[in-house]
Amino acid sequence: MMMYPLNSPDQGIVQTVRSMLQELLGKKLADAVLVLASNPWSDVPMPTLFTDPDRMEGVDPLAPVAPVSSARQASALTRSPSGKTVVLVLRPCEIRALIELVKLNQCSLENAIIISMDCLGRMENKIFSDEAKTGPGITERFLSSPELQGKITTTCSTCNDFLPENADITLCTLGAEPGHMGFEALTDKGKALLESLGFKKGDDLPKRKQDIAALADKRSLSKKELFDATALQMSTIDGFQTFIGRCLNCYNCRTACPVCYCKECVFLTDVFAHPPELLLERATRRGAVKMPTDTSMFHLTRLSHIGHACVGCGQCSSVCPSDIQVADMFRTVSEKTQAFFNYTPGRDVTEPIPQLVVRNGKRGD
Amino acid sequence: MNIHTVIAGAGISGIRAAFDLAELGHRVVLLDKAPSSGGILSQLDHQFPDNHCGMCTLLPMIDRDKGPQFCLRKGIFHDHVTFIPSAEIVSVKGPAGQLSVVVEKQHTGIDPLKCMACGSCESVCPVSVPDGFNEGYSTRKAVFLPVPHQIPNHRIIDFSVCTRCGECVKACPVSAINLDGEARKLEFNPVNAVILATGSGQYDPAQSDLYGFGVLPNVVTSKGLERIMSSSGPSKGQLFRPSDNKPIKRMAFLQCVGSRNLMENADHCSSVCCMFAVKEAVMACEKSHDDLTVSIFYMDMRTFGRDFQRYKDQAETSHGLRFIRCRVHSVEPCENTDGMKISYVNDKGMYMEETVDLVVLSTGKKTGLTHPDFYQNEGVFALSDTFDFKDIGESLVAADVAAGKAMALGGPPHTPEQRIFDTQRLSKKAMPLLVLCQCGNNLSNDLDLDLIESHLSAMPGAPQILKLEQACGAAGFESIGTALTSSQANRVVIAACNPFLFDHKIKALARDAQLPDGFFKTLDMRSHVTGKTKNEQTQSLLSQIKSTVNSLNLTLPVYREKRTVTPSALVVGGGPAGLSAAFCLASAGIDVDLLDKESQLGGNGIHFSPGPEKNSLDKLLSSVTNHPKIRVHPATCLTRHQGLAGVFTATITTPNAVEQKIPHGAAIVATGGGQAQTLDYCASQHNGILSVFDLAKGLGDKTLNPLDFSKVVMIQCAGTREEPRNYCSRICCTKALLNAIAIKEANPSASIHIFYRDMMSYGESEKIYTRARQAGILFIPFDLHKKPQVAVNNQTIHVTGFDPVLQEDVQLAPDLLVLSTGIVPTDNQIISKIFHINTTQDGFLKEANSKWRPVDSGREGIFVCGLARAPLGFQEAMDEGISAAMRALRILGRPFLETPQVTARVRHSLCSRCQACIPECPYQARYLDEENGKIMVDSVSCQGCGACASLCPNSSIMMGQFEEKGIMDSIEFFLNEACP
Amino acid sequence: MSEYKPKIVALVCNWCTYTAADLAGTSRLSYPAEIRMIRLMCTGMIDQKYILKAFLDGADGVFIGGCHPGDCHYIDGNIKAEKRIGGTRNLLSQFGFEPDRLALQWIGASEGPEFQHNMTAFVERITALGPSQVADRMIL
Repeated sequence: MMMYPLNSPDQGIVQTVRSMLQELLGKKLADAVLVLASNPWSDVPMPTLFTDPDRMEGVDPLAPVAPVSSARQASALTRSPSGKTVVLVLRPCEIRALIELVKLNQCSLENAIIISMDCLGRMENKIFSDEAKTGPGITERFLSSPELQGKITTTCSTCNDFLPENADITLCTLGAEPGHMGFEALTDKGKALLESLGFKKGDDLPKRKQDIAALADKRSLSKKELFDATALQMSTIDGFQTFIGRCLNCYNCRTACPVCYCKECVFLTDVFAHPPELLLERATRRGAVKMPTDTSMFHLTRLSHIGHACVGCGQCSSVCPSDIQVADMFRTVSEKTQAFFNYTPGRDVTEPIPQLVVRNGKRGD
Repeated sequence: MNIHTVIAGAGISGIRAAFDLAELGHRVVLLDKAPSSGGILSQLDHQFPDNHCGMCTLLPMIDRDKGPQFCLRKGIFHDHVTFIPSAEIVSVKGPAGQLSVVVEKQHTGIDPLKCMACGSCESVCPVSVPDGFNEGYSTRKAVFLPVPHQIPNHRIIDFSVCTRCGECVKACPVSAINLDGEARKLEFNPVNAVILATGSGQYDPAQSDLYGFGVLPNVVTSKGLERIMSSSGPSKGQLFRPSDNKPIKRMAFLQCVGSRNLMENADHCSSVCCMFAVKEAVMACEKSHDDLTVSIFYMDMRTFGRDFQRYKDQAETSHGLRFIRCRVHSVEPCENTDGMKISYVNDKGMYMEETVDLVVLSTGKKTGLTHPDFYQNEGVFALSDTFDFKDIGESLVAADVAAGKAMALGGPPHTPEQRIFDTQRLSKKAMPLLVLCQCGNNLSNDLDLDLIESHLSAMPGAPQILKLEQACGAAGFESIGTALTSSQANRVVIAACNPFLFDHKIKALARDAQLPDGFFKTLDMRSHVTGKTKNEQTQSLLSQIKSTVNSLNLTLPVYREKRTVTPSALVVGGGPAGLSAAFCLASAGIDVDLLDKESQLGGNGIHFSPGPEKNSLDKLLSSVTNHPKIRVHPATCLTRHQGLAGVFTATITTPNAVEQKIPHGAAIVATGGGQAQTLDYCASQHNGILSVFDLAKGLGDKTLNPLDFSKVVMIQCAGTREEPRNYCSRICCTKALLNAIAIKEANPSASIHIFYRDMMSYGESEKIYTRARQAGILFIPFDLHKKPQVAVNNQTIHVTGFDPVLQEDVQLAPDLLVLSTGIVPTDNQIISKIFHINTTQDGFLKEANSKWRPVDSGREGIFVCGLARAPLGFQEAMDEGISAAMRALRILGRPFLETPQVTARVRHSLCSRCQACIPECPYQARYLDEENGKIMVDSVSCQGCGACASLCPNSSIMMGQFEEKGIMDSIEFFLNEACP
Repeated sequence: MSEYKPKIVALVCNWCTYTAADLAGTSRLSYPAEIRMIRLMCTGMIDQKYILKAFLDGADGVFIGGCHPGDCHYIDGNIKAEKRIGGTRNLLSQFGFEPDRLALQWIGASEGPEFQHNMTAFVERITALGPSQVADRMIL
């Protein structure tokens, strides 16, 4: 483990990271940075692509909010080779999604440097915006306030995958004294970058292991509770139907999902465009049919398409206009799908997608 | 209609030859003496080395629409092939190219034009005789279905057992039976060629009273066992003992029954029985969940195919098969049980007895078969070794060679049918016509057709309905044609039975109506309509009709890519296989670029000593080098190969390092192989130790003198037939025998010992083995765990080997030690990468399927043959070259390649280019067009399996008549059925 | 209440199981009326949506019949299908569908009796399980 401590309590963590990213662009160590940043027109920070260090005053990578998964934006940036080096500042779940997208040839990590963080979770937009209005420095307040940390989404509070994998650099907040933190270099690329920015190798954060274990325990416990309850509900058709009862078929969940990668969802194609006769026949069979139809079909199909790849980011719940906790269902069911296929999404770009296991090798041997 | 070739024998070789010519655009008549097609394979469900079926793999892959896509065991359906069962050629007259062929078709008692295959005749027939299809393990009537699953499924009458009681005539509802008919003569004239693929027969073990066949019920032939175990056999796939239907616990295979037996005048090996026995043993073990002990009594286990040794080893380890080297001298019944006592002398010279429940005789080929008198006529080609048993792959190669000869007699060039489509009619919205066959009013009792009509009129895209008494007759088709002319219908569903049968009639209808064939669909009422009550059956048919009409309504005209074929070929490798491939292609008028990395053509053949092989190679070499259609590129390497079947481009580097691009339509890879090196047996430590190949060369070019050797030892399988090179190289044993005989004949006083594991003198080479033994050459078998030991001390070679007969070591100090080191491929590492084709674990180029596609690589348009593919003899390599050329001609012989109906297409507007479909395609038909950023389908390679479509999450792949929407709708129709 | 008759959708491959079904038909081996058969070129063509759709539309059972491993006309379509169907079965089982309602069986072209036997056994199995919980509900 290579820890590069940061000791600038006066400057504040947000400013320290901001300066680091500015310097990175200034020294031309990268051509662009994709990072969460506030702007005058939005009450929540949005993923923003910077090329000019002087425009980076709003950069706020640790802000406890993610109005959209940055994995999709990262994928848009790296879909085809641009020849430019891009720094992607992503949450752990966003990196996992990105790894899945790499496997699906939706992006490439070749010219990317990934900076991530110990993820303490994110709030829903509305909650974040309300909290931000109560005073300055929401991000720093959040990092030091257990009370604010209690306001993160259900998904985040039941997530025990809060440490990044496959990043080059992690911003370590766990185990640090308030106002202090460290950069951890996870790869040689990360190490070189930190060293060319003048960081010096230092001691490990003393309480880090302990803090991580404590958070993992707490999260795992609540996750188990949630998953058990959800699984019980899903285990009957009535439970499942009640769960999705308010669904409008708006497909927001699939739009927000970072691993639902289709250019256009099959539910928007002719395959599900039914003529009136068929709808009437369908209604005739059972006497009644909810409109729009194919709601169960939609959720089950999505589960069967990308259940193995669900990274548990919770965006689907956040965007649901009907307040369906889509992520609870997805995460609960997907966990079993992933166990069935012995597959961990986002762990390794070389891990084959389970639905595609029959490959050339099978035929060639 | 001009018939190009008449093929006698509709076994697997005959079918292959027929498809070869049919794919070249020729019309073929295929006939068989038997009332069914498929030959011996119709009785065998599974084939080694993979114990799979896969006969359908033989179906044409280019221009698939020329025949319906169905299991080949059901029958032969191809627009250009007419199959005539129960028929024989009686005379062939005239010059090649203009033959007059007279065929006699047996009277089978039932008029196929009238028969509805209802089976009433069979149910009333009072006769019961043993059923030949099940080798006599079940019975049949005098009127019967010769192969239960075959189409046409009209029964035939076996007049040799028919009592002419007339019951069947009375029972037939359509008066299709005539007991007094006579054989008919059919004449075909002019015909370019005749191919005789009449095949071999099986030795009848009842001839010999040694093993009790025909007397003891539990002594069966290997084919009999195959039927006993078959799902379509007497016990429906259960392995039971014939005498009492009890499970079998101990089973013995006796090899070489009717083969390798001088007393029976059978000085030959039947080549396939060893593997056949191993396969059956494995299947029997699997059927009985390994609660079975199988012993195989053999003389030599002839596992001479490339992958057979591993198959045998695997069978031995995973099923515990016992292999016992001996000839069993008798089989006797046990008292009071149905068991049998087998007695034999084992390899230690001890007398042994064993009791078994079932004895399987591995019966070899029948001898004494002769060709008909017109066999020598010009234009008549018999398959080489047609009376021998051959592995399926080899049979197909032999068929290709014969088809090649027939093709060489000319015939019209391939002119694909030019179809005109009524674009106006097609562009209108789907208007279906439903033809409802009432099967001679038989169906109206079972179905409520009015109800069906009224329901259908309510469905979206409701069909116009045409009710016919009998759709399958000529009158029926005429009415459909009239209905199509008088209406605007642009889709047709025909609900009748046996859609296999009238595929060609439907195509004719489509042609006349100027609609694509794919817009006509048949609905098999017999297998699709279920239910017992009238209501159930009506409901079932209704939903089937709705589903078929709907999916047809959703079927859109396929964009048919017409890919113009580059009419030239690339042949890589100028050894025997490559040379014969090049010559065959050039003779068919194709330009050939023949590459060899050496400066001299001939491959391993340049070392041949004078003799028939050298003569034949020299002749081929001069034909190739002088052929105006062949450009030879000596000392040239292939560096790159790109493109698709029909339109490839190769990049070659000439000796003076110039890069050159060669466009071509198909490529044949024949890069060859050479002798393997070994470190075993002190191979490089003494100049008196040679390889079998070097000895042959030395004896041939007289650099070695037999008189110099007084004591010779030969060791077979040196460094081979064990891991890591666990395969038989096929030719070393025969080479060693010929070397030994040559030395012995020149120097009778020389002593020659041959240490061997199994002498692989398969087929007629057995005679060489016999000759060697008669010449006094000593043969000592050895096992892998008791290999001979070789040491070199003071310039002397010492060989110590264990003699199982003497049960002691023999010590020899030969002045010549010859090692049979086997064959390894030469350049496959590089060549497989250049062509993106696969290799076996031993580095040979891997064919798509060792049985059914023996010279196809996994990629369409690229073919593999010769030593690069597998160890082979000279003639075998030449034949494979021709086979590869014939496969290439399927592409090169036509002006363009067209997209078949059921082919994957990409909707680029939906495709996210995740490329998951690319490795999923079993035919490497999908690729990323990097320039345009699109996923493309090579519509020629695509076979329409739909693996890509089911994988694609957003249905951006369309599958012709199997669109997702149609299938989803069908599911819904079925489940909506019978709703209140 | 009238006798319960399950609704069963069978998705069968053209080369093997369909041929076996046809053989069963021509051999007059009658199989249960409850089965509605859809012929596909290959089991590898089976989209998971087909299975989901069938169950959500009230099928009591879904039977998939393909070639024995190694016999696939398209080399390994059946192996692909096996993998995918395994995933679908796992998914459905989490939503309260008994995994036994989805069957995948290999039936070779000459196995007419096997076809009949498998179909009959499947119908019996489904009859024993009773109607799918979806059957009498309005499904969203």
